[in-house]
Amino acid sequence: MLTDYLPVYRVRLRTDRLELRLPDMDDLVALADRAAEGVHTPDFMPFVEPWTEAAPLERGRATLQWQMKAIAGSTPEDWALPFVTVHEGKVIGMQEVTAKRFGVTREATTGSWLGLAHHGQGFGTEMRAAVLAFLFEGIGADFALSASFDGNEPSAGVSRKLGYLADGVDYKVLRDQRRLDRRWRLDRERWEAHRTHEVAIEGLDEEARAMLGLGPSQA
Amino acid sequence: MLADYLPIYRIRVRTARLELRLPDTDDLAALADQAAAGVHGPDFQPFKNAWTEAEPLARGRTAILWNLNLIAAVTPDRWCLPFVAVHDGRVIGKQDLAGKQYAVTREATTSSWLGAAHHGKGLGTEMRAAVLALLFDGLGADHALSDCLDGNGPSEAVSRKLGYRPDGIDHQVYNGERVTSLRWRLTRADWEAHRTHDVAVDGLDNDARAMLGLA
Repeated sequence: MLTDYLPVYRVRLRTDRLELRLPDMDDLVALADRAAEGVHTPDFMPFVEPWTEAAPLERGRATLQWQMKAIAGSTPEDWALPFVTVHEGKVIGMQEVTAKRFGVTREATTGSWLGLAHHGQGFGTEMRAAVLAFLFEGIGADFALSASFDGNEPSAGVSRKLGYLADGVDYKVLRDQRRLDRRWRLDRERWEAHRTHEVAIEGLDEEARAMLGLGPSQA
Repeated sequence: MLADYLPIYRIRVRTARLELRLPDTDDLAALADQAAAGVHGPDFQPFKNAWTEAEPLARGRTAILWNLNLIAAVTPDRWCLPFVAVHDGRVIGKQDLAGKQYAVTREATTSSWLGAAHHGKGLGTEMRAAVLALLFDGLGADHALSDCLDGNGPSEAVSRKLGYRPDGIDHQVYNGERVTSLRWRLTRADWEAHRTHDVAVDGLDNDARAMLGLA
């Protein structure tokens, strides 16, 4: 079984409306379908790497290969968990958590996107809340990090609502234009104070934790 | 469908006893089972990176992540297709085919392994023959390449049987020791003259070919 070899696949995060899980190939194809249908409107590019400008099939392919690479490249010292977000049995988007040397830094970064048809219904907040519970409650994080381009109000709105504070800026270059990227940081205390959703964490056993650089193997 | 986004998944190569296909999640888990059960005897290490010296579960994990990464990294300019070999409905090993700027070089490199329980039955020859038909017949190659560490009799025998000729050596370091790797090269004419198996190639359409850099 896949989970014998990759115990992190046992992890399931559930909220009222959502399940977050690591994708098998069928889930990746469903995620590629969402990417092909569209992830954002043409007036605002939210991604540093403008992969969403490609034709639909290429967007789907990029999604598949990108998520495969994230899973394939994970090690206990440098991992990525590209959860798919499932609503009423349908994959509607993805919510990634990444960390380097988490066992020492106790901080991790999130990133996400949702199929366009699923925007504006609070799913972005709910899925972020799910991985924050995973981070703070499940694996004992001290901080969660995020970033959003200046003008990406839905993303900044989620971060503010969940208690993140501004944490400086970065300048990035997108198609030869300078873009302002805003960093966000959430500490444990503010996470506790801004919880919005009940989150159930399943399957986070010792073997899954070991894949994230935690547990006896690190002693 | 997966093949809409990754048309190389349409490719199926069939011989009398085998099917070669790119792996879905279940195939990767089945391949991991073969890796965990063992790939070679303890007396000879055929792999330069010695990944088979790890514990069974770690070998299985490596098999999944390694092959997933190969698929994730496929581009028209540089690709490695990690086919699983399926016998009687069961994944028994894998057969890679790798090319760099293939449209120009018209050559590609093969490598493979089989679960230890499936050694000694001619399946290694049959899967190599399958991927050679894909390469020469399907993709119009001029040359196929292979290599094996000196002393890997079964791999060398497959290359010789199928018409490859020696193509020089490489030296590598393994466990602090110098080891010799033998290179093998097969021309189209030698391939034609040494065909051992009937092979059917399906699904190699224009979309699949485009993913391999062929217009």
